[in-house]
Amino acid sequence: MRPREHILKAERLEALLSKLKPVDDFEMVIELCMLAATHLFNAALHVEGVTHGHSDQSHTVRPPLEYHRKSPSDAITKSMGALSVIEKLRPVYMRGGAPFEQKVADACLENFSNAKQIFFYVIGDAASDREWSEVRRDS
Amino acid sequence: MTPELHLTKAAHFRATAAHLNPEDDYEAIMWAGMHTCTHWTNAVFHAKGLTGVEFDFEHSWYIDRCPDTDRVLAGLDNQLGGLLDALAVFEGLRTAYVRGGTPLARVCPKKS
Repeated sequence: MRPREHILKAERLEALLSKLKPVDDFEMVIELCMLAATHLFNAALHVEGVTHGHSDQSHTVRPPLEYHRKSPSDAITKSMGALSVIEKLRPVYMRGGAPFEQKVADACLENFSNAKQIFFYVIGDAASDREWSEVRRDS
Repeated sequence: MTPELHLTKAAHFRATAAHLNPEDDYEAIMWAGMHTCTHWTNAVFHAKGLTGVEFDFEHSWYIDRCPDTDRVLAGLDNQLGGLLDALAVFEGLRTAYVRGGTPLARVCPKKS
């Protein structure tokens, strides 16, 4: 997928969040934050030339980023930290049986917001609908 | 995780999906369907003694990671096979339509 396609998908997934109530739809809130942030993560990696449009990360550690020839920037690494916090909620609250906690839901949404902000900083004008070849920065 | 907790989690996902629109919100419907089926499968596997409550599998393609895969495979009947087939459908939909950018086809909400 091209960065623009990842961004459009992330926007759809984020829009879905507004239809959910954290207290009732806790598990799906976590999942949508993870999915939307992962799409932005992939867009940022494509823009930096760490990965290309045919190799998307499904999670921050899958596949291991060390497998790629180029390392991500410090900005991406920082936002991966926020995404990683969301990912770590999944075995506990989504696949596991832990009940809803408002502070966890708040932290999840806050980490999504933080990750999104940094990923968009990296993506920059590649978020536009211009051709990817015109905006890719993989020197 | 106990079968009861798996059923509770599955019910949460179903309740979330129930107030979403299958066409407008198809990504969440597919995702919820996948996790519902996964929790159901784990609940049945535990209830039938195919896997212990300390082991939950995450995707149908990880079935060979179960501690005793032979026991699981030998314990599959038509109903459980059907459940795994349904899970595999959602897993296929997720790759194309949630993780990927394939535009929604009319058949997908029906399939979900």
